Amino acid sequence: MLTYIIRRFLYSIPVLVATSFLIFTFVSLTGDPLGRLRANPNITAEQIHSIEHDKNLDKPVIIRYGYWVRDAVTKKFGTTLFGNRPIWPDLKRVIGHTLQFILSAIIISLILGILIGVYSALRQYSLFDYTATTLSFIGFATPVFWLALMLQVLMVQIYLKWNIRIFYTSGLSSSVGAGHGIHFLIDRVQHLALPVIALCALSTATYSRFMRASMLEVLNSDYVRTARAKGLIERRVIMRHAFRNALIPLITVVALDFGGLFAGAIVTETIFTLDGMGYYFVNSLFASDPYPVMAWLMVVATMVILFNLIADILYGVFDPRIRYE
Amino acid sequence: MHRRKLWLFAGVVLAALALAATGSARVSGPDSAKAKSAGTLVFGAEQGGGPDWCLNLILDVDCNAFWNVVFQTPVIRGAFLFTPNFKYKPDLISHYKFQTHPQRVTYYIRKNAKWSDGVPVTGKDFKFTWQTATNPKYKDHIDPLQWQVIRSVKGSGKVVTVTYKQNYAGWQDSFSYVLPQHALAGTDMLTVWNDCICNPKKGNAPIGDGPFLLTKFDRGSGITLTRNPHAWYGKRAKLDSIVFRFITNTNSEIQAIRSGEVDAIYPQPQLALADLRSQAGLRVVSHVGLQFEHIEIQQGPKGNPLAKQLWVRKALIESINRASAAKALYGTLNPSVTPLQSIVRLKGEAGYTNQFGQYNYSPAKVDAAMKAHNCSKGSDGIFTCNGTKMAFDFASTTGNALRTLAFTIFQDQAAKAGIQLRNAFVPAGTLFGSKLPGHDFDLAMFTYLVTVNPHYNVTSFSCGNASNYTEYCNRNVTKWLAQSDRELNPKKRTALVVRAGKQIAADAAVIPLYQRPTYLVYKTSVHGMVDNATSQGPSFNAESWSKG
Repeated sequence: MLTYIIRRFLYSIPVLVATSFLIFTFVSLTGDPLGRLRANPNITAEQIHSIEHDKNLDKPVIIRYGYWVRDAVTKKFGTTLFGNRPIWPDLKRVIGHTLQFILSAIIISLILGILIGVYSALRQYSLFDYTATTLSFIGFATPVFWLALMLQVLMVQIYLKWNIRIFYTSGLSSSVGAGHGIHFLIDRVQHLALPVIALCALSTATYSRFMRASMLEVLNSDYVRTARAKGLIERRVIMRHAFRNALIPLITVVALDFGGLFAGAIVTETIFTLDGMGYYFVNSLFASDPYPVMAWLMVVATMVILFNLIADILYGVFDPRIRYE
Repeated sequence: MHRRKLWLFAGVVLAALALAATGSARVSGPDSAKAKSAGTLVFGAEQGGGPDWCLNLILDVDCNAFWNVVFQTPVIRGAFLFTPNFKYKPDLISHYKFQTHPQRVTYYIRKNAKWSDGVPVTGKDFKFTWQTATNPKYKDHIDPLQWQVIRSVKGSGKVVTVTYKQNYAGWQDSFSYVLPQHALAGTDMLTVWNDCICNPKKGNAPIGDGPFLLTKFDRGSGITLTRNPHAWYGKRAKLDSIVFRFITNTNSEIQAIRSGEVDAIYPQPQLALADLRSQAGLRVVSHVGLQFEHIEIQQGPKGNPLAKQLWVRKALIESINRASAAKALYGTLNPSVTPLQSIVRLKGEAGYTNQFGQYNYSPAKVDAAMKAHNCSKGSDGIFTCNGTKMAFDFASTTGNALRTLAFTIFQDQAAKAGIQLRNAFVPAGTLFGSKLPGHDFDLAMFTYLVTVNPHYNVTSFSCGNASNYTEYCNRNVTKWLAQSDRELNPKKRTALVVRAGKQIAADAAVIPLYQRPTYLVYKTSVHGMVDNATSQGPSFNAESWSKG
């Protein structure tokens, strides 16, 4: 197992290097970080040339990539193009926010997905199963941005009609009176609820379908039949023999999902103005500043690779038929 | 055992959800209701807090965005303020004396002007600001124009004399913010105020000479201004604090004001804003501001060669109905938005005259002009003149619904007049980064955000200037504009600019469209808020804001 993990780590290094180079090239070639300065009639051409020179923007992409790698390794991703702000403290902050958001969404989706999936499998072709299937397809088909906007509108209408605030429509905390301890927690939950619901719609649909299919497969397997033939009570058969084995494919899906979601649910975070990874990425992109964009991408790429590895390892841990040599 | 753990886990999750539900029921009412008791106003800000956002306004290349001015006007004051009627008003100074030959301005700093740590604001601060701005170390970060024309700044008390090397008509733009010398001398200006407006020599304690101090900057969330506990030269602020909350998505901003999460917003024009007018408890104030939309016509070698001819440029203007576009775009938001008839002076400014009114929408006139120049109409209804089709690539920025709508209207109108406009919208970075500076367009529609100082015309219309994207060149216009920059008599200066503007209109060099309206939306429970449609923004009188 250890050899496998080390080998996977070694494989990921060239992947990271290639990814970073490609992304750096694309980001550098597609935007002009000095565009907003050029649009300002008060900033002289000499100043712009001077900035280009100082920031190495007049050099070929490959050389600029070299400078970036140096800063990324020795200076924790270096500083932003304008303002000379260190990038890492900002990234640390938004990673924390995104983790709160996606962990909540994944945990809730998992609980709902598993419950719905298992019950649908146990009551296959029942009214519940048909309803769950229909709802899950609606969940798949609903664009997240639309759902997010509708949730915002719903909360506004509730507020206007009854003057009650259930959840907030934007931000992570109240600007005033967020409080401390339990009050802060409640305030945070009220802010995160809508984005979490928006994200849960798709994830719950996915997990419930996976769980249902996996559960059905396991319920029809020989060892479950054997367990029943041995006279075990049905609850024991389902919980001990079927359910645990049916979870294995879902673990993989969740691990891969987590890596992907770590990039920040860009649309959701933007609509709800959540100071997370996705929002950070969009802000950096609009500023045409390649350095924070690169830092973001490297963190995301690392997390995706890491969680792919974790998914593989978990598969080996939970499924005794799989052994990594 | 496992099952017990599972139930325990489910119980914890359910408890958390129940807690949230309980909390939500308990914490009913608006966010601002909580704010009211604390005397805090929450203002939604469309920009701010991005990874490269910095607070040091003197670094105008890096940090001088419109919202930064809004955040900091209540904190760091300058010699003059722009008033809502587009005029300069002495602020940090009680009065000034102006002399010519050589140009010399004597500022009389208010006797009671002092920093929040008790140190008086003096000529030392003016001198330090000027020296910082002209320090070669910061040459790439500060617009040199207004600073390099100054020969000396003298006076260390409450009277300070600024002498200019040459006549500089835009002198009132200088010292629009004055830095605290005692706090910042010897520090690195590139980093010192990245995250605070503070005194690094006193443990980064907030510092300012206005009604508020910037006490908190949560990058990614917001900025908090707290009332300056010490007296300043103006009226004591009525609010305890102002929180500028970053909501960079306009739709979310609108939902936030509707649901009472913020007390005020100042968004870009959006059609969705029209609904806010009918909502009880909200007040919408709109004025035409100092941002204008216009179309530049490329007259250099990279544009359509037909556009080099005056009659073609005139036909282009007459092929679009600017009035109907203004009505379609802004009619429901602000019916007072009408076509801009001057490119050099805007409505509300001295010297604004009707210079482009001569070009009215008239497909018949365009048709006659085309025929007079032996142009023939093709089967697609588009004219061809001397083998060149009357077709123009129309560049603008993608992702702006109002611009897309404007283009659709213009395209339809121009087609009826036999002129084809082709969609050449590109991302803003491409338009401003390569298309405009490379003169690589036929027509380009974009906005200029200008100040009361008409200097922007010099860079936009002088022959050979890097910011003259159209490559329009009229020696007389260049001469008059250059003279206007050195003319110290405001009336004579305006007359020169207007003269240049008349010639630009006669040359049909550009197509002015309309000034973009500002929208200040606030709760009716908020008092004292005034829209300032200049580059100063609405916080110029933040000390007068109150709630209740």
